[in-house]
Amino acid sequence: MNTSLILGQYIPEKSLIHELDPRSKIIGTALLSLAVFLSAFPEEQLFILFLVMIIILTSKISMRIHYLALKPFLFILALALLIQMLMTPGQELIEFYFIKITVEGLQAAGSLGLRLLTLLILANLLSLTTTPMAFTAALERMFRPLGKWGLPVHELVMVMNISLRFIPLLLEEAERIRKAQLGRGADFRQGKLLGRIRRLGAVIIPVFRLSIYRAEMIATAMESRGYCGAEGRTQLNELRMKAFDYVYIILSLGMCLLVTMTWGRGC
Amino acid sequence: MSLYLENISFTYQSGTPFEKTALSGVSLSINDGDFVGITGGSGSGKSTLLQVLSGLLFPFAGKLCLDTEAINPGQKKSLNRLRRIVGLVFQFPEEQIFELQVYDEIAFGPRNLGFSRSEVDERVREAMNHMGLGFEKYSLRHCHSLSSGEKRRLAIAAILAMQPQILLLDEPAAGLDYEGWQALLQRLNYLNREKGISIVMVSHHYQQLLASCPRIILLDKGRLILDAASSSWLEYLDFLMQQGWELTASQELVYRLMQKGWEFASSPRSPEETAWAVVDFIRRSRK
Repeated sequence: MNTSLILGQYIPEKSLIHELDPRSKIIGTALLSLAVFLSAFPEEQLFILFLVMIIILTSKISMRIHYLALKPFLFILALALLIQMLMTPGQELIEFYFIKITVEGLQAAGSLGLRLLTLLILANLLSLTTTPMAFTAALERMFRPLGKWGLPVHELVMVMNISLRFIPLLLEEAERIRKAQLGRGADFRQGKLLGRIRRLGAVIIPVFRLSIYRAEMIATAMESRGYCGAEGRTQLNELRMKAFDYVYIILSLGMCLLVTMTWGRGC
Repeated sequence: MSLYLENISFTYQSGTPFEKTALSGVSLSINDGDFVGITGGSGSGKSTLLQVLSGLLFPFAGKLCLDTEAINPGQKKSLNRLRRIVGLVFQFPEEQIFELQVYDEIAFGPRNLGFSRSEVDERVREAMNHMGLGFEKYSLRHCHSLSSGEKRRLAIAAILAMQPQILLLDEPAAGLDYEGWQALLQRLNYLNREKGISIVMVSHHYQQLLASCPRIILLDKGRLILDAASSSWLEYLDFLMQQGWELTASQELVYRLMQKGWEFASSPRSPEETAWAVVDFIRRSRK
């Protein structure tokens, strides 16, 4: 765990993409993802991928890190492609016992692969270039109108913020306790199922106890510093849209419209 | 049973922008009956070294040997052998406690090893005895009803029930009051002297280690800078000063008195010993 990239890790860098307002990054990512879904022709899909590649290059994050962030998903991606390839009926290309590969299957797999790959890169780009803090601040601002209908936006976002903040710590703790129990002969991979579940308790119980304890401490610490929810609370760094933010959103929106125009004409 | 490290290096998150070298070129040996204290500033690689010694982290470069047998990361067998011989007590080990009763908590390890009921019983009794937890008084008590010092000794007893020959402890004194620490230290000394278990402990508390461990290892930024007997620190005082090592208050006192022409026959390891050495010198100079 120590030697790999943590899922959702933020990589600090000074680039156009990093400087974008988190709101426009979220909206842009959503629009581009929509465009990926709506695209019907392989040319379009390739074009979107090309565009996303350009965005990636401007983010100044090395390709190796993009690859590392993508790595955990490659297996699922390959599996999805395989199923798509084998399960689509149509004109047969190769037949081997019960395995039938069809022209349609290959096309569908190629199209699916391009789309999923683009989506994954987009999602990773968002988490690589946005701090969790900026992300939740943007969510809070974007959902603020819903507060009028009684939705506790600030509280929900705070809960999300705190959970995001403590995921790495929780993982670290679980890892440490797992190691400690490993030293007491707890093998989590071998033995009968019942015994394995019992041994898993040796990790789960301490981790739960520690998190409940920590939750209580954080609540006390927040209250003792005068935290009482959204009321009268202002932000240190107000979010502000710049010219490039609008360019980015318009670009994504344009991409979306372009794809919509051809929608329905394809398969 | 001796443990040898040769030119060990370790890097965290290697290949990412968060790359951090924790150990570089560390060589040392832990021999039968050793009582070693490892210290250094924060980020000096103390905890990493301890995890390498216990076979939990694998060094990127260098060799780890148990007696004459090299421990290989690929070979589960030799790794298991190392883990059976070395017991690691993590920092705040009481956080691992998960059973309701003291007996079950300590029996967890031996049960995992597949011992019979009577063997488990025997190991639990012995481990509790080693840590000064009387079997009749404690075995059926609830773990959470113990004091923090008792909880820590319980967690260590749970490791001792695995019957390791080398016991590694990460910051064993952290969060304990003076009495709790003294009680624990006394048990560790007993294990070392009577049972021949080698003890290696890591702490940022230089004074505490100097007073309690016969052998001291100093780490600085992942490098081993000193491996020497704590009872002869006067001999390498110059080296410590050269390295910019922060002396303990009583070492500082001895150093200043020596500059004024005082003579010390031996190196006092604790504030108490320093006080006695000062008294001794005054008495001798009066005669």
